[in-house]
Amino acid sequence: MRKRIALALSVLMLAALLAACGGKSGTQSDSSQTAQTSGGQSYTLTVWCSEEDQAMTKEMCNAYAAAHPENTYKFLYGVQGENDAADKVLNDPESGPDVFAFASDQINKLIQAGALARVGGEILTDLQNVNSEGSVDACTVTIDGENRVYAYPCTGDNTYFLYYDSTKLSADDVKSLDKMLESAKKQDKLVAFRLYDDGWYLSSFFFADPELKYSVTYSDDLTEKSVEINYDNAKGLEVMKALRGYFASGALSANVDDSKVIAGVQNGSIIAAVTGTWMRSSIQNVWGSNMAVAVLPTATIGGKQVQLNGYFGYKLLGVNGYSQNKGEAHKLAQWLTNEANQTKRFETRGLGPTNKAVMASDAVKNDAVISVVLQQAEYFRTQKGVPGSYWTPMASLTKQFVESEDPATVSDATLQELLDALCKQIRK
Amino acid sequence: MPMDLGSFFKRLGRKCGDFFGGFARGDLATKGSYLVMGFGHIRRGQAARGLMYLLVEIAFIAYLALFGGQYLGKFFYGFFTGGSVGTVETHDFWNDATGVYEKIPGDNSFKIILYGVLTICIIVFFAIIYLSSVRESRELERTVLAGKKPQGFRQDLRDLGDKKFHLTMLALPMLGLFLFTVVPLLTMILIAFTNYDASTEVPQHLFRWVGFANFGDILGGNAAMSGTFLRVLGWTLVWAFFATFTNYFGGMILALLINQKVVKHKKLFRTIFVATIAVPQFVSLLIMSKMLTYGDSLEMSGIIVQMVSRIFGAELKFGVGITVTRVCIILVNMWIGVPYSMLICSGILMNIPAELYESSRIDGAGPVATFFYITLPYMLFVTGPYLITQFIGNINNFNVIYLLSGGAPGDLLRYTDGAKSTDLLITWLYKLSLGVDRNYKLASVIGILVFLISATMSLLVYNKSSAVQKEDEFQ
Amino acid sequence: MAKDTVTIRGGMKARRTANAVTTHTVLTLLGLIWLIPLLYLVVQSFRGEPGAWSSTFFPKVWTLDNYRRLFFETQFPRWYLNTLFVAVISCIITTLFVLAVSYVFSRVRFRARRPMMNIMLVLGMFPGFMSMTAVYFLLKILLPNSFQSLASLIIVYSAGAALSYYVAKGFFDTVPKGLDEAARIDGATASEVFWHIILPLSKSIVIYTILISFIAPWCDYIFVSFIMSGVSDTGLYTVSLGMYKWLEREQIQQYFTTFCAAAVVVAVPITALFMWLQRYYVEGITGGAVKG
Repeated sequence: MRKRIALALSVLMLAALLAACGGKSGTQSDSSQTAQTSGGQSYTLTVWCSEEDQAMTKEMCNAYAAAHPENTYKFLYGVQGENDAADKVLNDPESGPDVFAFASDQINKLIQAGALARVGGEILTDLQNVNSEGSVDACTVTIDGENRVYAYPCTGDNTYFLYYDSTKLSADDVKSLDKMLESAKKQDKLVAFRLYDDGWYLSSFFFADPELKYSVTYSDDLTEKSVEINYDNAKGLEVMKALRGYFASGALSANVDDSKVIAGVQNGSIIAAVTGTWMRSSIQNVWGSNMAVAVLPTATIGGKQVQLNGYFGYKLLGVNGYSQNKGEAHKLAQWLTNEANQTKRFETRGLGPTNKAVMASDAVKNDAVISVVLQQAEYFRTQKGVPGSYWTPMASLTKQFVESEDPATVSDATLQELLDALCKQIRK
Repeated sequence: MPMDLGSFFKRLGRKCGDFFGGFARGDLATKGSYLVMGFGHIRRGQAARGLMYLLVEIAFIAYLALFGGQYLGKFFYGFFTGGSVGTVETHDFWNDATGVYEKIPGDNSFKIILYGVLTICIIVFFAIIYLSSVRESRELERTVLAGKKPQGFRQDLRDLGDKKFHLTMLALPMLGLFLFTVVPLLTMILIAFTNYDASTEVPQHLFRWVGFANFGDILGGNAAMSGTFLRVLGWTLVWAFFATFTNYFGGMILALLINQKVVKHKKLFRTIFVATIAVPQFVSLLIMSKMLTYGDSLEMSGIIVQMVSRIFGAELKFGVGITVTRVCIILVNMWIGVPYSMLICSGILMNIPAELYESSRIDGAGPVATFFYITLPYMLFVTGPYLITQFIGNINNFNVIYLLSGGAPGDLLRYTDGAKSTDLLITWLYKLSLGVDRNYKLASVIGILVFLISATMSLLVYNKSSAVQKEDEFQ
Repeated sequence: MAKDTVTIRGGMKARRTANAVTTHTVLTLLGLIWLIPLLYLVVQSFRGEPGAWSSTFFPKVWTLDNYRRLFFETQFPRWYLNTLFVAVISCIITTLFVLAVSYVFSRVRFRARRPMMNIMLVLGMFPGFMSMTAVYFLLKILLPNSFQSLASLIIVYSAGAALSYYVAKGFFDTVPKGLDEAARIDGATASEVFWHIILPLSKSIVIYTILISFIAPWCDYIFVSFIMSGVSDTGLYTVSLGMYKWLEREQIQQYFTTFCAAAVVVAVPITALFMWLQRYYVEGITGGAVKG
């Protein structure tokens, strides 16, 4: 028996060793190299981008290597969505990627931890010239009285708007949230609007009132010194009451995420969804030419019809402050966000550009989705200077509505309690 | 207690006396070995052994000079001045040649603490080796004076397989333990006394020593945080209690059921249940979490939620309602845990002496009485320690909570700092070390508190159970 | 007299049959409940329609495509081999460490024994994960170019193995010391006693330790997620981390059915192994852990 076990173990070990040797020699996945000429440098660059952007980014990096034949490049790719890219990088910035994509509101956090390399020299001037003002502003922070740029604008559409099935809802219906929900209820369908478990969408209700806001004061190295927020005043209470009413309507689906929205769209139970450009192709695959887009509807808050306002953010490309190859990384980041590649991004995935020339092109101007995005950009709030303590409490703000049998039974006092607790956790 | 201290100091005094006295009384070779380790050995015929000691001394000095010394200095500097760990900050400067802003690295506070702890431990080990080399040198002197020949190196090696076998066996495991458990643990314990969190990321920033401030915060100073801590602690204990006892009694009842004489295909039944625990836990838990997802419509919910809705007409708000989620977690834990205790109980049941059952049957006891007066006491006695280990293990049962619910649902009114309503202390610790709410100092504080709780419980229970075990085997 | 016996026997028989029927029903019901989630897993792995949510237990479209996808289009095979490699090596190291430490503590009464055991008891009460950040940095020094690698995982899983000596020690305590003494009188060294006498008699505890330490890397998520957090080469994941990522928000839509297929592939060998060695597991636990 002992011999048998020993034999089995040694066979296993042998097999595993062989496999591991084979595996280890192939640790570099999807590496790409150009024809090398002698006398050039050899660089290994790690790039992080989201799952959907992987194929496209690989093409762009290979094109970069081809455009610089004097050097040899090896690229390593990591899969990481932009929304939590910053946190993943911050877990260990020293071993992090050289270039990574992140959502613009994370920039302060990254700079404070030294995880972003400052942009300077010619590259900086180029960046400021070709990109829209708003996008450059998203990459800029003020430290010691001077404006410093720490990232490259990549896409200008990190926001949300309304997709709807034009055979089920008319353009008139979707102008107001009440009408939309009423119509959906009659058809026994749902409107997906992620007002639970995600403060990003939920903020649209608070932002509808220009007086409800937060403000952050930063110290010199971008550490948050103090945070003020006034969601717990009378106007905030009105917002909560309005939310209560909508949750009780029966046609609102707030407990959704991207996969659930796709499932609902595919089986027809969802006829309208508030989401962003990243869902465009999945939704279009189902609704085809019946897919229509519109700005966020108006909602009834405090008895009045107010336009729902939301976050307008950018996806930025950053060079890691601890990168060993900063020179090349900066050049690569500039390449990945240049005019040609922003056009490519738009054509492949329908993502909104930040490059002024691309934005002015006919293709972009005539795109229904991008025009809605730009329309909202006029009045939406920039996703910048968001307190670090904002997202987690906001995600739990509407839990009571989802938890209780009938949201309408949640008392006003509870609503006020929730707002007080929220602001207490956010304030500093 | 006073007796212990007294005898401790007496022993300490005696050892110091030996140390210094030996120096004074020893001859040149011995005196030399106080400075140059191994000198005495080489002079008295244990050359190989002496050489080894000498190498240790050289290595130690090299280590301090090249690596450990600098960190030690920085470590203690901050410690005693109550200031930051390390003094040089990181900053950028513009390099025209390369066209980029280069980063000039400064001190890395975390590394200072880590290497500082490592160095201190190495110093302690060196001291032990030094003292033993000096002691051996003195003994060698006596041996030689008495005319005996000191043990040769060959014999030393042979001893490793015989008299000193325990040293050989323990060497590697203890090294692994020291390097990868003791040193990191001490480092993280020290972190609890600093202000290392998301706003003081290394190496961009230096963090400071703050003494017991963090403990003060969590134990009452910061009302929100300590409220959250107490709630998480409360749920952790409640969870550990229910998880342990539902599994234990569930397993016992199942084992008894299957063990009955009337049951055919005993093996088949046991195999079915064992199959669930043989499937890796993370697979079972992840699939369960998807089956229990609650969505706004049936099509967006997991299959169990749909079935409950169709059969019972009730909404299973897993991950949204606090009590529902907690109860479901305990039930799912039973699903993956009962077969374990069933196996163990089965194994033990088969060992219960049959005479006990015989005599009770003759006395006319029914099945219920048999259970309560014979089976149950026997089982509790034999599995007592097992129960305790299970309880403490459940306090730290990361997988079940994290993979099933991720701690959800969040509760704005009662939980702050990243904790959610079904988080255990250990899952909260994990979230504080990795992810959005990084707060390393708080994580360390929680780790220490978990330790204190486990230690207290273990002590209480072990004392009680050892008292019980000293009595005779149950009658 | 005869009539009484018949009545008694008749009554008892009726009761026993009723008991048997109820017991069997209850057991079958429980067995079904226990197996349903696993059945769901297997069934979903053959599901043809994409997506993560379904309104029926059984798929509407059956396909083998998920398995094909699993082996040819994802990095799963590599993850599997990674985990196998890590499991085998750390199993060997862990078993050697645990057996060495538990034997020494059980048999040799050396001076530092009690203090050592107490210190290790105390160490074991700290949550294992607490030291991860420091271990991460240590690994960075020790393996500067490949600290996010399988070697790191092996170290993490087996370096602290000495702490789990209790069960094995409990077992060794039950092996009579007379055997040791007899062998010593015959002139055997301590080392020979361990390798040639005690160990062959301890088959069940050895197999128990091997089994436990082999299965551990397959089931661990918390440590591998920390070591591999942010690693760019996702081919280095173990199965638990890779499969967990498939179920994350961004990827679940595409990967749910693949996950189920992977789960089946991972679960079947482990289950078979566990069932085959089940007896040793029970012996080990009841022999060592239970008596404390």
